[in-house]
Formats: sequence, C-alpha cells, structure tokens
Amino acid sequence: MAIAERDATGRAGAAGASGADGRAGRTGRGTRLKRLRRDWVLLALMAPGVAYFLVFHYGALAGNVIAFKDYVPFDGLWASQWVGLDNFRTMFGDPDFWSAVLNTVWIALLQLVFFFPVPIALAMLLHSLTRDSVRRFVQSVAYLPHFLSWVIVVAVFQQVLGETGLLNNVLGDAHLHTVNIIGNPTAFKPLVIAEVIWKDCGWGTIIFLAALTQVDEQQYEAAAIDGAGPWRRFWHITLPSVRPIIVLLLIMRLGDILSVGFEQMLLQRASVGADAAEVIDTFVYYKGLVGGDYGYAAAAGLFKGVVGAALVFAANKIAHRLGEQGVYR
Amino acid sequence: MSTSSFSRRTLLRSIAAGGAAMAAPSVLTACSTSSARHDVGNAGKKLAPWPAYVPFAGPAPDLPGTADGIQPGYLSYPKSLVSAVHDKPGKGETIKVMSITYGTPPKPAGQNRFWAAINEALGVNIEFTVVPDADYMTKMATMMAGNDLPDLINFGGGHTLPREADFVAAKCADLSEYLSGDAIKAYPNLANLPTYVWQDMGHIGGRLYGIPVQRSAPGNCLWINNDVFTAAGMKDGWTSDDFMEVAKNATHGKKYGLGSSAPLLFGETMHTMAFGAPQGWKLDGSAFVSAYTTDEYRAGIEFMSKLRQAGVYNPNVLGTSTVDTKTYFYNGTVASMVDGFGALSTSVPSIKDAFVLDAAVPYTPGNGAKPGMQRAKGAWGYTVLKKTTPDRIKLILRVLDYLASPFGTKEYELNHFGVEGTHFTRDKNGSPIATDLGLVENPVQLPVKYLCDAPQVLYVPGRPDVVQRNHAWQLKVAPMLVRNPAWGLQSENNSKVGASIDTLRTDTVGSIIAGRKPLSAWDDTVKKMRSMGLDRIAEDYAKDYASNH
Amino acid sequence: MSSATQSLRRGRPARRRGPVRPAWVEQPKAATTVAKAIALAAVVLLVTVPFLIIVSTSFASNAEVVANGGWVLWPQHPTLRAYRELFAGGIVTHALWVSAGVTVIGTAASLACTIGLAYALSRRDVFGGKPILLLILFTFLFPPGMIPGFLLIKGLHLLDSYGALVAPVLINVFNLIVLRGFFQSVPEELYEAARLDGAGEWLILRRIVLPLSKAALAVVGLFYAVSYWNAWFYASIYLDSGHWPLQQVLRTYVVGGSQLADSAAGDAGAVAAPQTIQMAVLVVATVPILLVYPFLQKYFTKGVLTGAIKS
Repeated sequence: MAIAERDATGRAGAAGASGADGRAGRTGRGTRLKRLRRDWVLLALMAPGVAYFLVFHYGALAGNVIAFKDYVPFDGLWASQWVGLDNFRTMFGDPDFWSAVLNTVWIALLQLVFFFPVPIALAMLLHSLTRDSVRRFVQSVAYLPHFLSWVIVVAVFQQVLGETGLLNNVLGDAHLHTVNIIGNPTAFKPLVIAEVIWKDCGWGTIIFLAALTQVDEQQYEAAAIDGAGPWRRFWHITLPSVRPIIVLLLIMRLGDILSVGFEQMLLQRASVGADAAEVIDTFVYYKGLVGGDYGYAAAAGLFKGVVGAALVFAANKIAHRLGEQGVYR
Repeated sequence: MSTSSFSRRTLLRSIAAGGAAMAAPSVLTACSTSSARHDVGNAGKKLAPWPAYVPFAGPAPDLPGTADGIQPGYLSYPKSLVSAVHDKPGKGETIKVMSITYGTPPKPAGQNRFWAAINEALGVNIEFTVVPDADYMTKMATMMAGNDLPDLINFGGGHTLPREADFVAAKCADLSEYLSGDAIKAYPNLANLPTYVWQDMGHIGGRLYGIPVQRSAPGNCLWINNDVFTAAGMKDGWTSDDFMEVAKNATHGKKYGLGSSAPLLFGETMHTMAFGAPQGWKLDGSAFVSAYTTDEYRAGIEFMSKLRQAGVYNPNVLGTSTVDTKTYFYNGTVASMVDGFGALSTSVPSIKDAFVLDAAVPYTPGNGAKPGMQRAKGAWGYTVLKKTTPDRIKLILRVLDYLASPFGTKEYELNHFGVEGTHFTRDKNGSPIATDLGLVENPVQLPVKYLCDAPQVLYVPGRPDVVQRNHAWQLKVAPMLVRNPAWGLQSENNSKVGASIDTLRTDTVGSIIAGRKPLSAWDDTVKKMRSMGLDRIAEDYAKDYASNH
Repeated sequence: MSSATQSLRRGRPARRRGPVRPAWVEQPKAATTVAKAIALAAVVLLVTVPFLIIVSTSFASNAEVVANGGWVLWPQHPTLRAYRELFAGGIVTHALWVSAGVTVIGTAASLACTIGLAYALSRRDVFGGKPILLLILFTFLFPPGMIPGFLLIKGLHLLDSYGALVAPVLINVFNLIVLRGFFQSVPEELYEAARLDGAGEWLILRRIVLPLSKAALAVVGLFYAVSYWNAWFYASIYLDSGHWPLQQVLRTYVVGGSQLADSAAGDAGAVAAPQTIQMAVLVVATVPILLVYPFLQKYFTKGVLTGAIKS
C-alpha cells in the first residue's frame, strides 16, 4: 500500500525536482538520514506538538493501568492492589451496563442520522444565499445557543414543551389535546436529538462554511454555462468540496461514539428514569466516580477506547475504498 | 490483619495476573509507607472514651434548648457579650486549611478585611483552599492522591469519599489523647459540643480523629404555607387521609399542594418516616435492619404514588431543581416543600410575610405506625489534622477552639458577622446587620464555619415571633425524631457499594412514584439491593455496634 | 514570485455587498425563496426568544422573577442589581482578566503548535508522519484519567499556575485533524509551482498554505478560544480560588447554589443564588466570547481559492 501511495504522488515528486538527488522532491525514498535532512524544517515545526503529546498524554497514559487495579488514591498507582480483569468482569457481567450501552448506541445512531446532517444542510442553505448581510446575520444568531450550558438548554426546553409549558398552554387554550413530552420515556430520545440540534446546529455549520470558502466560484459559472441547473451544480460542485471534511468529522465522531452528552443525560436522567436515559458515561459516573471506584471507571474508558479505535479503523478503510483520504492513510 | 500479609497477597495476585515487573515497586512502597488497607472498623478495639461535655455558661437563652439537640432560642441578640477565649491561639504560624464551600470564592487574603481580622484574632496566617460543593468529589480525590496534605481538612456536606475512613486512619493525626474524656477540657469551646455530636461522628479503628461540626436535632421537615394549608383544612392530629384531602384542597388550576424537586424525591424521607420507616437503619436487638426492607417504607412509597396520581405535586418533579422548587414555594405556586430546618433563616426574608411559614407536624399514617421524623446527623462533617508534632496539633486545636466559641461571645460575633462598623452595624434592637462589605466578606465566602463552629442556636434577627413559633414546634416534634443507628459506625461494604445501592434505590423510588413502574418493582429492587450488599452492610454495622455497646 | 502566487493575490474576489447575483445564476423560483425565508426565520426566532428571556431576566428584579415563576420576558422595572451584586468585591472582574489572558495566550500557543504539527503531518511522506499521526490518534481514543493527569501536573510543578490551564490542553486532536484536512485540500499544483520557484517548506507554509486556509484557521482558532474561555474543570482541580478563571468563579454562583440544597445533608442555611443572578452570570460568561465572532466572519467569505489555480 505504501508503494502505491508513493506512486500516486510520484507526479508531484517528479515535478518538484528541486531535491538533492533530483528525484526526491517531497516524496523521495532516499535513506532515512537523507529523509531526515530533507524534512528538518517540517520536523522542527512538528517538534513542539509532538513533545506535548509525549509529555501530557503518554506521560499520564500509564494511569490507565488502574483499570486492572483496585485503585486507592492515597495508596498510589503502584501500591494499589492488582485485580486483573475483575473490573472488566464486573462491568461486562452487569445487565445494567449493557442496557446503558444499548441506550448509548441508540442515541449515537439517532444523532448520526438526524443531527449530523443538519449543520451541513444549514451551511449549504447559508452558502446559497446571495445577500451577504442576511447570511452574516443568520450565521451570527444561529451559533449563540452553543454557549448555553446544558442546565439552561434543558430548562428552556422544559419551559416550552413541559406539562405546563408554552406549547401545552397554547394547545390547552385551543381546546386541543395536550402532549406529554418532558418526563416521558418514549419521547425522550427524539427530545435529546432536538436539544442537540437546537444547541449545536448553528455552531456545527462553522466548519462547513469554512470548507465552502474553498469552492472555486468560477466552477459554478462554467457549469452554469454548460447548462447545469442549481441542483446539479450543488451535487457536482458544492457537495464534493465539503465531502472530505464530512468524512473526517464522521470518522472522528465514530471514534467518540460511545460518549453521548454526559451532562445532558445526567440532567434529565431522573425525569425519565434510568431505563431510558442511562448511557455509558452516566453509568460510569454513578458506579465509578460517585462510588469512588476509579479502576472501574478506567476500565469503562478502555472499553470505549477500544470500540472507538475499531470503528475509526473500519471507517477509515471504508473511506479509502470510496476514494476518500480519511483521517490517516 | 497486618499490612505485610496484604502486600504479600498483592504480590502473589499480581504475579498471577502476569504483572510481576510492575509488582516490584508495589511491594517496596507498600512496605515503606505501610499505607495499604487500614483496619478502620471498631470491632474488637478498645474505644477511646467520648470527650467530656462541659456546657458553656454564656448569655442565657430566652427559650432553653437541650443537650440532645433542641436549639436554645434567643428572641433578641444578647446585650452584653462575654469572652470565650483568653489567649491568642497562635504566634504567627501559617496553617493551610481546606474545606467545602457553598458560596462564591473569597476575596484574596491581602484585600479581605474579614480574613485579616480572623488571622489577627487567631494569631495565625490561614491559607484557605475552598472546594465548591459541585467539585468536592473530584478535588478531594486528587488531594488524597497528591499526597501533599493541608494541615486541616474538613470532610462534610453529606458527601462520603471513597475509603474516607481508610484515608483518615492512614494519613491523619490520631487526636484521642487530646480529646478523649477530660483531656478536651483544655479546649473549653470544643468541650461545649454535646456528646451526641461526637457519637454521630464516631470512631475510626476505635480512635478519635476528627472534630465534628455540630448540627441540631431537627432535620428535613415539611415547610408549609400555613395560610393555604389552614384554608385547606389542616388540623392538629391529622392522619394521612387528612393530609391527602388537604393536599387536594390546596391544589387548583396551576397551584399545587405539594412541591418537590428531583433531589428531594417527592419528600421521600419525610413521608416514609411519617409512615414509621426508620432513618436508613433500624436497630433490632443487636441486628441492623435496613429501612428499605421494611413494610413501612413500602407503605410510604405507596402513599406518595397516590399523592402523585391525585395530581397534588407540581408537574415533572423529577425534572425540577431545588432552586426552582424554592421559587415556586415563595411565590405560592406550591404550598409546601421539604427542606432542612436550616432553611428557616433564608426563607423568612425571602417570603417577606407574604404568608405564614411553618414546619408541619407529621401526620398519623394509615398503616397504624407511630409517625417519625428525620433527626439531623449531629455531625454535619468533621475536621481532621495532618500528622504532625504534638505542639502543632495543640496549636491547631486552639485555633479550632476559637472557631467553636458559642453564641453570645465576642469571638462568635467575629467568626459569624465580622468586625463591627466594617462588616456589620447594629439596628435599634442590637441585631447585627450586614454592611455592603459584609455581604462580600463573610463566613460564607471564607467558610471558617465549616472547619469548626459553635453549637447552633435559634435566632432570627428582628423576628422573635418566628423564633417562638419554631421553638415550640421543635419541642412538639422532639419525641418523634428518629436517629440513624448506623451513624458513627464503620462498614467496609458500605464504602464499596453504598453509593451504587443508593442510585438504584432513588431510581426505582422515583420511577414508582412518577408512575413509570408498578409498586411491585420495589420488591425486586429490594432483592437486588440485598444481593448487591445491603445484607453485608448490615452485618458490618452489627459487628461495629456490638463492640461499642 | 511565481505567477501562481501572484494570481492568487489578484484573484481574491472583491467583497460583495447586497443582493448581487452573478449573471449566470438563474432567477430563483418563488417557492424556493419562500421556503428558504421560512427556514431562516424559524432558526432566528427559535434562538432569539430564549436569549431575550435570559437577558431580560438578568435585568429584572427578584420580586418580579419570583412572581413570574422564574422567567421574565420583558422586565417592568429594569435594574442592574444582579450585575452590581455579581461584580461586588472585584472577584468576578479579576477572573474576567484571568480568562481573557488565558484565552488569548492559550489560543495563540495552541494555534502555533497545531499549525506546525498539522502542516508537517499534511505533507506526504514526511519523516515519521504516519506513526506520529497514529500515536496522536491513539491519545484521542484513550485519554489519561483525571488522577494521573493531576499527578503529572503536580510532578511538573504546574499546580496553582496559569500554565496548568494551557499546557494539558495545548493541542486538541480534533482540531489538529481538521486543520490537517484543510491543509491537504490545498491543490498540489500550488506546491509544485512554489517549489519550482525554489521556495522551502517554511515559505510555502507562510505564503501559500496559511493565506489559503484563513477560514480554517479562523474556525480552529475560534474552537480553541471558546474552549479556553469555557474551561473550568482543570481550574477546579489544579488552581486555588485566588487564581480561578471566570467560568469557575461563575459556577459557584450557579452550580454551587443549586447543588447545595440538592445534597440532602448539605447546609440548608446557605443561600441559593436567585434566578436574576444566574441569568446575569450567563450574560457575563457569554458576551465577551460572542464578541469575537464578528471579527472572524470576514474570513468566511466565499471563494478564497477562486483564481488561485490558474497556472
């Protein structure tokens, strides 16, 4: 695969014949030393970032060893007792854990289907506006809710959709059936998605708007002259230009798929019950952190990481099949 | 069991787990610090005697309290204050302290005249780390892990940290020789703490490690809008059926007879105890019976679910915060709510006489049980000291003794109100009234009162009527107050699975009352809680108790 | 200077104002216009009304809030009381400066490090590129726990220093990957042209990649700035209260107040902050960072690349 990759980019290497051996450019396959000498500027640019990851992530990563321990903070990492796979055994043997996993996966899938495309659609809508001032205004308004904490977002939804909220007042005054949305386990998952859309869809557009700045406007003109209508222009020019970033975001989201709105769930868990609202993060919060079982929490973290890694790997493979760059090659 | 046997077992286990390389440092540390697993239970230990109780003879209250936690009532602020401490505790030493806070952070020491005044009075330089309630579990866990302890740490606020007792036994100073029996008389204000306060704090491994922060007997009670409840037919000696009627009568349109929030769980403690359930645990001979396994507790849940079905609670209780519930109570949306007795002092100014505020007397339940009420834990929390020299321990105890100066002393006035003319002025009745500076420099922002405090009194500035009413109520309900017999006892199983059991319990109770699950779900939950460890916890407590009595 | 880079500079389209529709765009259908207008109006209304209520409540009197059951749509007697109370004592003001400083310095440091790393990793076949990328991705999947993180900060003597608010979160993997993605979308032809001109990596980064990625830099910069501004968790465990940034101080008004009565054994004597203060807290916490956005908006202009690839 590595060879194929170099061949694919060989074009650039051949064109940029400024390298020492005439062939190197950016893609020479010279010796390690030569590549080192060639890339020293890039390596220097990388150095602070790499140092950061080594110190602050790999420096503390060993802490995950507590997943295999009965960790007692004041005894320290090493003096705490080894329990092998006990934490995992307890976790996997607990039906409540699997119920939380199921809820998490459900909500994550609903988010992927019903939330993930919304910012893209809104960004496209904004992009299609010809009037700059309107675009700017809507853009600046739409991203505001991102700055509200979950406590406030949940309160806002309750004021509007609650039993005595705005919606039911209107329905009641019109002698219509009132609806029971807040505190209703059946309506909970759609409600969660609605909250996420309200809070983050405007914020989510920003990244796509940035991608859309890179569309070559002249392509539209050329396409229009060739007789392509707005839909075809959208399909063949606009969408392809944001596709790589959509793929990137999708893969990153998959890596984090088992985390769905900890705070959002925690705040509403009591009102609809654990059966509907317990997700992995809240489950671990109660079992691991409130109960002080850090080893258990770390085990759950490792579980989430392994699942995320598998998904990232698979999604990246699929992306390559579809001719996308993906996160890594 | 000895430390070494444990570390040997650790080594074996880790080899079995294929971690021999990692086990090597573990053995070394375990031997050198000898901190692995302390036996914190009291079973089979010779217990350090409780500190002697020597009541302070200060300004006499208008309405006397009791040594058992009924608050002395003061109708007005004492005219002439006495002194409780004669020598300055310190000579300029620096003391690092850490405690929970419910307020906003204090102004820095250099700009804070309240802080300066406290330092000056104590003769020490206090460095304060405040830990907001919301951050308590994480911050305290890192403090424990960091192994770099402040001189004074307060544990409290209803939180129990994982292996808190282990930590205290391993890392904190054993204070038994300074506190036990008559030794405490060297610190007269600490000796003024009634015995029940020490008992509710308890021993760790048979020894005394902490100084408790006192709370009086009344715990969570039902605060009612007396105007609405009287109009709805509340009467002396009411029954649970009467209560249901009153709550229904008080509910109409968008007003509700009962207010509750998610954390208050429909007033679960108050109702189940009115139905005769114990508070947490019941002592049956020498055995411990969990409240949750009793018929009375079940009957209480059943009653609450009937109340909820009758529509007398505010909607979506389990999605409502306590702050919102308070707002509803003050503005008349709900006619009652369960809250701690301490809420009195903040509710009175918030309600501003819009209605008469009263604490309710529990109803007689339909199941024929004797109605009970929650007694507050006498020790709201306790303060421990880092291991240090005897001289420094004595210094810190003198500081705490100063902070415990009782109501009616000059020291109390400084600790609670600050400096006269700077932080407070007196009104015509002599009550201290906070100045603007007093609103930002006070013991809420600089929570010295959670390190150590005087026993509480019943005093509401400018409201002798409120004091009288509530003192009478305290005397009336005093015989109904029920203590949790597990207070002050150690249980290893409770520290391991107590939190998980409690999550399961509140989830189920909430679901049943909210109508998402049938009452029969409770029986399954009880079975599950027992298998999770409720029975083992009962055994732990029974063993610990047996050695105490 | 190569023709490519020159045309890049010339090719930047003039900023358009008002409804200037290029000739090649057909007249939109009325139905489309109406549908768009409705969608946009819905977005604006759904957002602005709750915000109006929040701001209004912060200016209302406590009595009015209690009478209304918690929220006020429009205050009868507007008052600054909540704000005065919030700023009394100077703690909030100090925290505001701390947050501003941490946000500015942190964002600059994060952007610099992220750019360097993202650029190097975006270049094909850079020495060690793939293993480094995978090692970084690994940290995204397996974050270190809270206590190991604390012990590390303690070991590095960063406890109770502002550095503890920046160093542990210097580079966000998500931002890094996004920026790298944008860098990769810069057309290869530009690199070739620049290299023909004899430009080295450093020059290419400065002259071609960064100018073409202004929108991406604005986005990533905004993400960093907002996360520094909103951060409180590290402050809560690494810093003493005297050094707290704004969000951690403000939390004590909001969370501290509401949690308090929530713990059954909590100290019922302490007061929960009234709704007016909670809403004022929200306004103070968000307005400063909201002000950043309009300055970044100019980078979201369409068609930066237009004309850049005429070689």
